[in-house]
Amino acid sequence: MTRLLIGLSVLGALISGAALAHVTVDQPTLPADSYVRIAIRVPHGCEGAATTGIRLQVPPELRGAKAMPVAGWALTTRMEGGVTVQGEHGTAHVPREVSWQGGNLPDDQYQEFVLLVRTPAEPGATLYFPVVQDCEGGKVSRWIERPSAPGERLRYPAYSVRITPKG
Amino acid sequence: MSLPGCLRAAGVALLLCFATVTGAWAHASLVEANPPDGATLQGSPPSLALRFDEEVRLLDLHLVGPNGPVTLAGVAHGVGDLLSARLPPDLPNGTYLASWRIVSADGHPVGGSLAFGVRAAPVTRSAPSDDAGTAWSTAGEVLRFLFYVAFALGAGGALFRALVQEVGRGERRGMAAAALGGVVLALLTLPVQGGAMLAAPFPSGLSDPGMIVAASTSTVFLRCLVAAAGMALVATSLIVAGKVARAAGVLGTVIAAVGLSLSGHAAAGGAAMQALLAAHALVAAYWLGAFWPLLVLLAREGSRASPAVRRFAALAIPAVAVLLVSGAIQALRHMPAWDALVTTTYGQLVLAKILGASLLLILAAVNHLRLTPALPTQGPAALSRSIKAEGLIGLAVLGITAVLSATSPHAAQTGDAGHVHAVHRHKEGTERNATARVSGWTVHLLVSPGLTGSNRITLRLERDGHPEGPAEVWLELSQEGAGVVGLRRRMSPTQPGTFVHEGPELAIPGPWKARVELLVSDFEQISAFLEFDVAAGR
Repeated sequence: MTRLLIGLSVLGALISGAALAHVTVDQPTLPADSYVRIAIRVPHGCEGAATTGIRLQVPPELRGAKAMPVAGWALTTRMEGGVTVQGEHGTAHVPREVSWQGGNLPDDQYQEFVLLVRTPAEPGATLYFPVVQDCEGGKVSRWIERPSAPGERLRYPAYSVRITPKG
Repeated sequence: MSLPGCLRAAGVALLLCFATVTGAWAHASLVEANPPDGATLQGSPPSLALRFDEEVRLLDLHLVGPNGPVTLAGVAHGVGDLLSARLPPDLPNGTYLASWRIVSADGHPVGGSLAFGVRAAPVTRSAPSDDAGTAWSTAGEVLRFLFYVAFALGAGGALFRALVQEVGRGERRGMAAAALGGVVLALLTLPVQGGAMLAAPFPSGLSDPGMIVAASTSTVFLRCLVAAAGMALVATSLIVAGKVARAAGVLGTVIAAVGLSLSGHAAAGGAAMQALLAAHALVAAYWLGAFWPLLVLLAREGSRASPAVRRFAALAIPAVAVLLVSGAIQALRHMPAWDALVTTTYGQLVLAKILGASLLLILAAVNHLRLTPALPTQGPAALSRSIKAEGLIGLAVLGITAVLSATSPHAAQTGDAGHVHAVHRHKEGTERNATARVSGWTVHLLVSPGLTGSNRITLRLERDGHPEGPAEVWLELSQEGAGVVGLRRRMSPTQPGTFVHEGPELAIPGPWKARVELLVSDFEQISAFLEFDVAAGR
């Protein structure tokens, strides 16, 4: 009886947890060896404060990443530390970091930040998309935690995306 | 299951549900609190007010002060996102811990805590409780030593009769008595641990059942119960003759050895370290426990005991290797640097143990290489003498081990550097520390004085063996059993690789969990989890 109750409540916690608002990527899996549009979803600010900047560390496994500008936000990319890959159109440089800065997204509004990425050639990898959310008043939410043990619950998880076979 | 039992189970399940949710997925968050988290107030606050970033519904709000729970008058959750409660007038001076559970608008339960001090005079211990603390820790060391002796005699005897040769009825009775003594000693450790945790008066606190309740929150509780159960099985098996009894004795010994590994330095190191410690204890029992039956055998059978001695030695040689390797790994794990061998009490005790073990090894080598081969021709007198000497040294090593397992591996902090030894020994009863390793980082946590009230929490961080300080270090303190979850504090750097937080958060005695977050770079964060006990102060 006790076990059943505990099991049910853990299940409840899992279900309710999954629905809660984090900064995430809109797709949990991506096909290998493809150009795919993905979006970083920002459902709220930092503890009530409006979002003023989104910085993404591009997963080093990606073979390309181009960010889409957003009106009112300055788009910058940092190339140092990024990888260089041979593509079908010659050598391509993948940025290490992409950031949209200087906007103002109130806590009660929603925005997406879009990228076109080229996925790894082989399926199987799990890619982490760590995002730093800068907010008004110097507040920061870092969506950068990666699990150190399977099943570990994180406060601010970095969104993870699995690379699946090209369909 | 009875109805109240069901309700209790449901309550536990509900709590668990909240604990998981709040830990991981906090949604509605606290925007403002009055009194603010971490504040020191000059007077008694009239009320406690919490404002959240969205509408919330209150599930539970409670306040714990220096004299226990404080009754809140009129909890109101009038205006949407605001919760407030009137406080009784003239709160006594000290530290207060408020914990709440709420359901946010989207239906997700969330919990949190905050701490504040009223005219927060730092909680200091009076001299008598200090003496009591020392008395409790000394009592703990003596009990542990006696338990080790009982374990070696009883469990070691059980191993001897199972692995080397059946022993006589008289010896079996003696060994059973020793094992029974072990059961009593293990159970006696419970009130002593509780007394140390609550800093109760010594020794009158021993008769207070509250001490056992206090101990039940500590890892020592399980350790003592499992060890006692193992020793009880050993004692029973020793009374009975036959194959089944011999096997049961080995099983009991293993259970007791596993029990020993459930608390203490090894328990903090995970399953591998615990297995290592259990193996260490088993092998030590085999070796030290064999002295008595061997002596009896030599006295009774003289040179005819030769085959049994050889059987013992055949197992003892690999056993000693296990003993040395597991002991060395344990010691190395806790040694921050080589010079700690001389500069810290822990290091000096390790050195003393190494010395004792070396003497034992030399005697064992002499026995094995010279005296055992000479047994058939020259009689047992020389071998008996040597085994007696081994037994005495073994006792000394067990004594050192008993003190060693209660001694912190880390030196006292910088401020006390001038008299490390004295301060360190003095504080042993309460000062807490824990160590965790994660992705190349070593995190040492030291809580001083480790009593409820104001504490100084020091983190020493090393990356690949060198002190290193990440950009930011956050500490999150929880005691889920008491409803305290996620007290977050940013720690301040004092010197490279050392971060400190001083505050009143540890207001409730019992087991605390610390989650340490190291922000290594903008995009890289490492979390370490540590646990420690806090004793009642004053």
